[in-house]
Amino acid sequence: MRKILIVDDEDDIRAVAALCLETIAGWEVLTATSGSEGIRRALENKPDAILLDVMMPEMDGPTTFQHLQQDPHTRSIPVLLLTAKVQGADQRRFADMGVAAVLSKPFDPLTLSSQISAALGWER
Amino acid sequence: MQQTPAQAAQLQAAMAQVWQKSLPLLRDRVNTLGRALAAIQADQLTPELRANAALEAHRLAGLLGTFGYPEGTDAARMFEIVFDSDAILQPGLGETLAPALTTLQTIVTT
Repeated sequence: MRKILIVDDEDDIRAVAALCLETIAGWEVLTATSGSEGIRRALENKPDAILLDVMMPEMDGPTTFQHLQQDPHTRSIPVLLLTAKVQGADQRRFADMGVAAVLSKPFDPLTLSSQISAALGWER
Repeated sequence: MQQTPAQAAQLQAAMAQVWQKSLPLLRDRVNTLGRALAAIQADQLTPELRANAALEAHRLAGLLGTFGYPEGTDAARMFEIVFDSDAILQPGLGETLAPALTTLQTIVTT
């Protein structure tokens, strides 16, 4: 069973994303409400992938991603950024950081797991 | 990853519960946009309220479409673009944004 960590400061986004991935894909879902908690949970649980919100207080998604990349224990975990920023320049900047994919909010609850699987090359 | 009808129904039921639970917070967010709009019309928009409204609009834009309200995402996006810009906001902008606020208010009172 795939294990995915959702890092987002918004309760409703975490709840809906977790529902989608558990119900449709049958994945185990872990959640974190901040970048620092996300790093801690990634170290403790070694998820197969991390779905990381871009805009969060204190430590935003890109900064959290950099911390994950600097740690040899978390460097190899693929990270997908989740963003409501629609401007192409923002999307390109995020993609250039080396994340596995940049997914847009709002997401389609029925196809979120398919988007993640496709981005990571996971078998369906 | 093709979902079964039973999975889709289960997901929709669970999402309906999340929606009901989220409504008070969503109403607060829309109310913030309403206060910001009133402040524009009174030419009394503070930088703090503008920044807060931009953040709340961003959050609404990123969420409402997931719950099946793409028109809510579009309306919130209008607010986000306006409040997140460097432009000086003129009182007349209130009329332009009023329909978007009505759209959002309608969604969070369902």
